[in-house]
Amino acid sequence: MKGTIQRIARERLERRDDACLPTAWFGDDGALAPEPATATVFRDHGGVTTVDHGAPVSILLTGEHPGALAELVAHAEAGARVYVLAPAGWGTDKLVAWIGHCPTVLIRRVPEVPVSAVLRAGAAKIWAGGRHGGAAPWCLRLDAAQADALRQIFLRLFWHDAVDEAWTGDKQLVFRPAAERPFDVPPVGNGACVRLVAAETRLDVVRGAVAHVSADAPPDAVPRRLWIAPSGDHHDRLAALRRGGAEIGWTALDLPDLALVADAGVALLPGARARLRVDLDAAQRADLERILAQPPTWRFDLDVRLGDRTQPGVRFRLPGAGAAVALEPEQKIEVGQVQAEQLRLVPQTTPASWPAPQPLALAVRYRWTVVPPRLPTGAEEDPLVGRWRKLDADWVATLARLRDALGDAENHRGRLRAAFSRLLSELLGFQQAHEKLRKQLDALATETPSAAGPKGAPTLLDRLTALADEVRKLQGDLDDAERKAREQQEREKQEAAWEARVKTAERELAARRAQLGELESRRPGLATELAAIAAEVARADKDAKSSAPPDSDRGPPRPGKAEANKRADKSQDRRARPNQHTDDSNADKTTESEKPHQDRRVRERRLSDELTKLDRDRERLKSEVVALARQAAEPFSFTPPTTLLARPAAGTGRFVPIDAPPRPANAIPEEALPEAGHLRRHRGQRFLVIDTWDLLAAGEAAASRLDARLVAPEQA
Amino acid sequence: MRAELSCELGVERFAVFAEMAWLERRPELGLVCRAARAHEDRLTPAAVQSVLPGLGDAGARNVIDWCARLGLCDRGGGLTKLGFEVAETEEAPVPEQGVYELWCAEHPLLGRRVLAAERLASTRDARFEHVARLPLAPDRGVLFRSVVDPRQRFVLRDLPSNHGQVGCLRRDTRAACRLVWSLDFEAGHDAWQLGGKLESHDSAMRPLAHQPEVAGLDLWALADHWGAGPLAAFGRWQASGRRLAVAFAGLDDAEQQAFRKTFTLPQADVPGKGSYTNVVLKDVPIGPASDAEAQRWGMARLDRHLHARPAYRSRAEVRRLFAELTEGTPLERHAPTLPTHEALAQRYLQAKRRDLFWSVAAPVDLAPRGCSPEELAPLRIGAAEVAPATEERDVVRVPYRGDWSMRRVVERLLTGVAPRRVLLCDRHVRGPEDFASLRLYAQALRHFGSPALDVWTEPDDAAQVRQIETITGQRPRTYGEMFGRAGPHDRFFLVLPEAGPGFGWQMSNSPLDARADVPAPDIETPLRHRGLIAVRMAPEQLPQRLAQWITGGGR
Repeated sequence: MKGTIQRIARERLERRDDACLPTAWFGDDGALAPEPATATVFRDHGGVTTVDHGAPVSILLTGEHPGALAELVAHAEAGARVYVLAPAGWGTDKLVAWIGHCPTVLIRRVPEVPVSAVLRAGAAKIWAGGRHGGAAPWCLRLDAAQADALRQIFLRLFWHDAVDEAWTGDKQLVFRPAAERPFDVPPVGNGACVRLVAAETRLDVVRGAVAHVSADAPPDAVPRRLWIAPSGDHHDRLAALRRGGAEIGWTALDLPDLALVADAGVALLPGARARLRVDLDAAQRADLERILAQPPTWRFDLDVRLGDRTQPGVRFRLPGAGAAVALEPEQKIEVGQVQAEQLRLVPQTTPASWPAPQPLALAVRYRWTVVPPRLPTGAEEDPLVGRWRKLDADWVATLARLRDALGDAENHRGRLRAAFSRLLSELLGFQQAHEKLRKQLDALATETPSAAGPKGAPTLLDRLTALADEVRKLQGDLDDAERKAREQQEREKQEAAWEARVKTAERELAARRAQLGELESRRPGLATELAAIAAEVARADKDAKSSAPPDSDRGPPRPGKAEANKRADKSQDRRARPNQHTDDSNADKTTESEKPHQDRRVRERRLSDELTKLDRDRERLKSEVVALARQAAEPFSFTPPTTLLARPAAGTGRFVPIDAPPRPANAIPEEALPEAGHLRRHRGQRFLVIDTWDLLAAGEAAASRLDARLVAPEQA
Repeated sequence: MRAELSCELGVERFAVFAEMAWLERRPELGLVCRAARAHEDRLTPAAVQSVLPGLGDAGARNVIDWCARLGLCDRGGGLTKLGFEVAETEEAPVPEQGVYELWCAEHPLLGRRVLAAERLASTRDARFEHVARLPLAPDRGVLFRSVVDPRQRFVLRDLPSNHGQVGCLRRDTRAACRLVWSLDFEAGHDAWQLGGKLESHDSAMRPLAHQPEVAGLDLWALADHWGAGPLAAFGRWQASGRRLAVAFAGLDDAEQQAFRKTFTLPQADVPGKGSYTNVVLKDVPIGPASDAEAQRWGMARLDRHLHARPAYRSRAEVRRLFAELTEGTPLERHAPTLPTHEALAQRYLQAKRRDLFWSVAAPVDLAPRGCSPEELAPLRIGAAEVAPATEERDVVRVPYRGDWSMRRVVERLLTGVAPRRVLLCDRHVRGPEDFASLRLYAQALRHFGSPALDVWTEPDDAAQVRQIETITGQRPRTYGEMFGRAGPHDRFFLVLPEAGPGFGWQMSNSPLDARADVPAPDIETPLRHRGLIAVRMAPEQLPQRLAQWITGGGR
């Protein structure tokens, strides 16, 4: 088998010509025999031959016999007094149209009229059977005794049981409650030849009789010929009668229940409240026997072989059946779904038992659908698959990291090549090692541990571990080479800076020394000039003090040299804060005679300031000369940089070598994955799922190895 | 037959000087008058001395003279009407004189009557020229009762005057007085009464409280007088039958049924009692003016009865009904005839009275045993029906007016067997005539040896039950008790012989519907029957409950 695993529809055909029905009615409604001509019992088509003028006529109507209605209309139109006994609810517009203009019709309605009949002065007859659209009803002429008894029944019903009444002659029939009866009518005795009996009364059939049973159960005695309506009921009883020699048949003649023997006969008409029993006279019995002697359209028999009743139109009534059914040429029986035990047995699977066909099937075709074994609903993945998948995932992740590491190493190598030309020869060696590792990585990427199985997986993992070590070594070598190159480069840089710094210091030192000598030469003259002027100022102050008021009014005492310097500083402050020198301003407001004294003081202060500045510059130059001299004499020393390795570019993580995938003792499953299908587990049971028939052999082997049941997918 | 005569009376009011006597309680005079009644209604010295012992003859005569002066007796001592009344009431007239105000009226029926009298105080304010002639001289010596205060009774003894010329002071009056005279001819009773109002001289108007009085008229003589007078315009008065023969046309249903009619006479006089206008003569007995009218009348009553009580009627029932509706009525003497069945049915059919047509036609057409020609033949009321020449074995026909005695009826029904127990099932056993017939029935049964008569009936009350039990010696059983709501329509008579099977009779009429027309009938007395047809039935033909009686149930 090929293709997807699915359900398979299958069928089987079986012929049943020799099948026998234990009991059955069979017949054809269309095969009616012509009815014999009779005098007392005949089909009545509704014609009225004579009318009794003047004499009252009594009519019983069950509402369905045109002969009785025709009698009613004919006598009403002839002016006779017509008394009608009708069932409750009877009375239609159509009737009013017929007899409404006739003034002598009195209608009384009773709950049930036992029979349609007419009672005239010279004749009486009843109607039975007949349905709308069917054959004409039967008419039975009554003899005098029967007519008298029926009249008594009519009178009893008319006067005692009437519910309402109406009479013609008005525009419409108006039914009103029945008026009180004029007298009591004695009930018909049990010995009357026509009488009402209980509705439950059954026909009394004696052995050897000809019986016609329309609705009741079969008789207890074995009749000579039994006419009984075919149905699914009473087959056991009918079979017993048939075995007793009774000829059982039926034609839908619409006759009432009849029991005829040589010297007696009874007709029992149907009724819901009561049944009308008529003891038949000899002529009536003879006519009815002739009618019942015709071949029936339906027969009841035993052991009926189906192959013998295949004529068109023949139908059957079987025990318990509600309707007549024809033979079925081929019965199709849908057996339904049949579950296959194993996938390999799907094409050969059949139902465990074959449903019985209907009894009237000439052939039977069974159809069923084989359902392959399927993964149960709710099954989950087997843990073995998960373990292998995890191992493969770790394998792939490790390979990816190694591949990334190789990529980073390549980049690293490129940077080194660009930065350190002196490393060209070393980088060539790194490249060769890199290429070798890449090839090993590509080789490992073509394999997975799950594919290798429990045996090959350890080797693969060892190879992967070795590869990771080599990649890590390559990375370390690259780092060492870079570190060395960078250190050499830093040394060279520091030496160049030291040489430039010495040369600059030597050049600056000469210039500083020249400046210092110039300052040293200027200082003595300046100091002398200052002392002179300071002396003049002091004299002037002394003179001024002597011409000035007592001490309390004189100013502060004249300072010495230091005092002069302080005053020079204060003058500078006053220049800086002009608004605050009240005393000085007052001094400025001295008289013109004091102006030369003030000029001396200004000069004293200026010279003091120049001297101070010169001292300060001289001290600075001395310190600079010392520093430059120290720098010019400084020896070279190499300071290793704190970080020798260059920072990688942003976004490119530095390769951090990792260990190879962990290899615990139970990391590698003991069982390999199935070669075909998917391994699932449900309630402790392993299922190997395959979805195509070409995986059947491999699946069976894997299922056997894994102790799993081989199944189709859940939706198969 | 009743009549009511009425007229308005004029009332005169005047003040006059008169001698009156007011009736006051005088037990001694009552005693004397009662003693007179014990002495042949004559007041004699002995009678007076019998109640006044020790009184001498002279004293007794003085008493008698005084009584005669009071009008209690005549000069011969014979008690007057007033004297008899004093004996009864012990109230005697006490004479007095004075000025009185009188209200008087005059009519042939009541004479010149003082309706009321009041004493007046004498004054001098009246002027002489106001005195006038007396407008009406009231009857003197007659005991009057005041019509406004019946307790007052008085006698006008005299009107004293100079030279016989009675003068009075006439007064205006607003009094109104109406005379109403009721005549009940069948009861032979009449009564007249005054109605209206009267004022007092010092108070407002007062209604008259006159007690009815009897005139004692010969009413049937008055009827004959009117029959020849004002009633002649309406029909022919038949004095012998005290009935007015009228034409059938114009009578309404109620008049046809009741044989009475009300007439209004424009003017009618009562000999010696005045003349009256617009006299209403109610419930005047009427009858047919001719045999043809009687026939129409009888058929109309039959039609009305059939229509009023819708039901199907057997021919026997129609015959009985026609007899019931005509016998004992003014129609009977005209011997109306029930038509033949066919004629009766055709009569209703042609009149398009379909309910009546079917009520009589259907029971004949649909009779269980058919109807004999005698049944369908006409029935002439009052004429004895000829019994059929040949008697049917299982049918008993009691002809109309056949004069069958009860013994004969029972003998036919028992058919020669010795009865041990019998049952009469008859819905209606009521009224004295039925009970009289039942008594005869029970006597006849006892005559034939049946000691026990069960009766199943539908009594109206417990008195009927007791009466039936008194007659039969058995407590009757009710229809409801025996049949529930499904009682039989016909009457049945069931016989349980001493030997042999029981049997029953279905009867078109009750055997009790026979009248003796003599005061003390016995079982041999010829009875007046309305017809009965009894059909013998076997137990299985009887209604279930009756059949059970024969087999022992319900006895």
